[in-house]
Amino acid sequence: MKLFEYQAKEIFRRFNIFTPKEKLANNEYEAMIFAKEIGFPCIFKAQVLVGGRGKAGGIKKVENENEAKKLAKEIFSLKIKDIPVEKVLVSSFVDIKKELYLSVTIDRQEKSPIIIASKEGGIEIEELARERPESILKINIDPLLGLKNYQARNLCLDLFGDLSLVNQFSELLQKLTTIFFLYEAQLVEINPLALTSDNNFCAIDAKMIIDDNALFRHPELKTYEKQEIRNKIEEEAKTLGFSYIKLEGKVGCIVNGAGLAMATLDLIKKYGENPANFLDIGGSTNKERIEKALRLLIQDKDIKVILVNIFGGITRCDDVAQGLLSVIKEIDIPIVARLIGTNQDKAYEILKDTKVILIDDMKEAIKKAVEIAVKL
Amino acid sequence: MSILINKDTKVLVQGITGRDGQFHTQRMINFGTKILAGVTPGKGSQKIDFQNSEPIPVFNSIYEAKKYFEFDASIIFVPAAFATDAIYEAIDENIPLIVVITEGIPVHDMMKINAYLKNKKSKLLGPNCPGILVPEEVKIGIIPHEYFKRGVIGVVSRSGTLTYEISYHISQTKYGLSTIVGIGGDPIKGMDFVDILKLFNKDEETKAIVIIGEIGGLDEEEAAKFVKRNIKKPIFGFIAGKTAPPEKRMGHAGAIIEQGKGTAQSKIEAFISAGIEVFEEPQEIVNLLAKLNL
Repeated sequence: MKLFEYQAKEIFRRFNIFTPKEKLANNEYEAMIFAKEIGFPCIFKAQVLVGGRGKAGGIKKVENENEAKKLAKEIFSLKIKDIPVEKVLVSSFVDIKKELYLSVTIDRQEKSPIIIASKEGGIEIEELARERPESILKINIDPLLGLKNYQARNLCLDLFGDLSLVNQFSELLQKLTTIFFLYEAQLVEINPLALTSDNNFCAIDAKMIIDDNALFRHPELKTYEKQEIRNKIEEEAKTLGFSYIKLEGKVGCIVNGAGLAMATLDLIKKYGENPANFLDIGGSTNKERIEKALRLLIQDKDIKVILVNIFGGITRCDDVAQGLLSVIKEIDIPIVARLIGTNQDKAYEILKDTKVILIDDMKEAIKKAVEIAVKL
Repeated sequence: MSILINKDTKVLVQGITGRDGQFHTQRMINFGTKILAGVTPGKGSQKIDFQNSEPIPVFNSIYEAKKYFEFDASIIFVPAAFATDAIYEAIDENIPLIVVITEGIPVHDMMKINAYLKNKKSKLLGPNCPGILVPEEVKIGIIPHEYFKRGVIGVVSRSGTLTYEISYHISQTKYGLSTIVGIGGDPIKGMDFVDILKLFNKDEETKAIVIIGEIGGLDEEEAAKFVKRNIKKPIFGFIAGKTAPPEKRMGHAGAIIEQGKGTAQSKIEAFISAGIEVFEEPQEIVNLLAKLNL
């Protein structure tokens, strides 16, 4: 789960990490009032979860009341990558001496958290990482012991050349890693991290991603759960616990397992059509889940044919067949099903006199679905 | 010889009383796996009837079960919220091989478990994996064994069902399979490609290897480095996700770590430069194997 900037900063402030003075506006009038309250110049920041907000005009410096009026209206009528701006963070202007980059994330290779820091922060950080990788500093953290003080000191030395800022910086690092562990984050990122003229560190921006698998033990994050979702079907898929991504094609797919789902998508494309979605129904499943997956898919009116590709292991083919059978009447587009693996015989028995086109071979099933989609 | 397990491997099932645990215990028994006991806290002191087997005793803890049995391996079907504890219990009871089928275990737990595992006797496979199958002999996991023929090709994969798909095609050739190992699809897991490749490399039964990867992470790139230096056996590779939409981004940090790697293209290039022959459709493996002369 991605948190909005204002939510991540709420958490930061709880841990006494400095942020600019901020208020969250729900409409242009609030934005104008808050701008006046916070004082000029101030910054309007559109609260969206997609990247590239600055380039899309979602961040504006506001110099005076007139500008506040104009820009508040502008920013609330913006759409950033199709997402309407519903909230704007009004933020005080910070006198920045230096912009840095700081994050804690997961290093898959080392199987441990990793701190990434650079004394050159800002939007060009990825370019910097490519062109001058030596300017990016990394420290792995022991998952059981956490950050050690000497590691924070060493990072401070590497970043600033001396220890004059060591107290402020070590404290910030400890807070950030504490947040990372406590909320079971996959990412806590401050970019830019400002070193202010009075030698304090201030989080100008904040990003947090929480591990969805850990949300069950974080009831305190429940209130943050209202997410921006581009699409009604994606929203429903999420509540049902399916891994679903809307794509642009005509072939609707229901597959078990992400690897097989991706391979199925690759082949649909190879044979000349585009998949309408990625939908992994997961491992262990039952009849009801298949019904829900089908009902979900048929809401997408772009879909001309449904392709079910199941290689049963923990998923049982007869469960899938039962699910297909019970919603078949509601579906008026062709269904091509490839069911192989656990309880395949029972599945074939269940579907034998229905309109479901049963094809044993994955390649042939995909070709058939593509052929139908191309004709329609 | 197979790798990791054989027909004499003595197996414990953690979470034996659940729907999936019970179903797949029966399937493992049918296939010939030596299931000695199960553990479900709070449901001990009973025996569960299975076909083709004596009733299987259920204990409240591994500690209790070990008073009666010795185990070479444990398979975990415990739901995600309790699976972490089940893994720690198996590690502390020195179970040599722990196979975790459960999906949805929090990633912070997996980082801690991996750190804890250092200097312990246990090896961990998974989580979110289909387990190990030695065709026509034994399995620990959920791989639908009916579809696979014994032979000389070793398969290691991050995927579950895609592994079945490709292994199924291999079974249609004269070569068949020595062992199939699913290492699991989670970002942080126990044994990785390299651990399994080492075993296949040493295994005399395994004459050629198939490695099945997918987009995300750098496991395939790491595996390619190892293959280049160490593996002389013929080796084939498949990467899923060429047309997948770009992974949901993890701020800038993900991009900084991966440095443009992690994509299907990068993985395919890494495979090719390591001498791994890449195939694009699951069934193409049949044609590639036909060219071999083992």
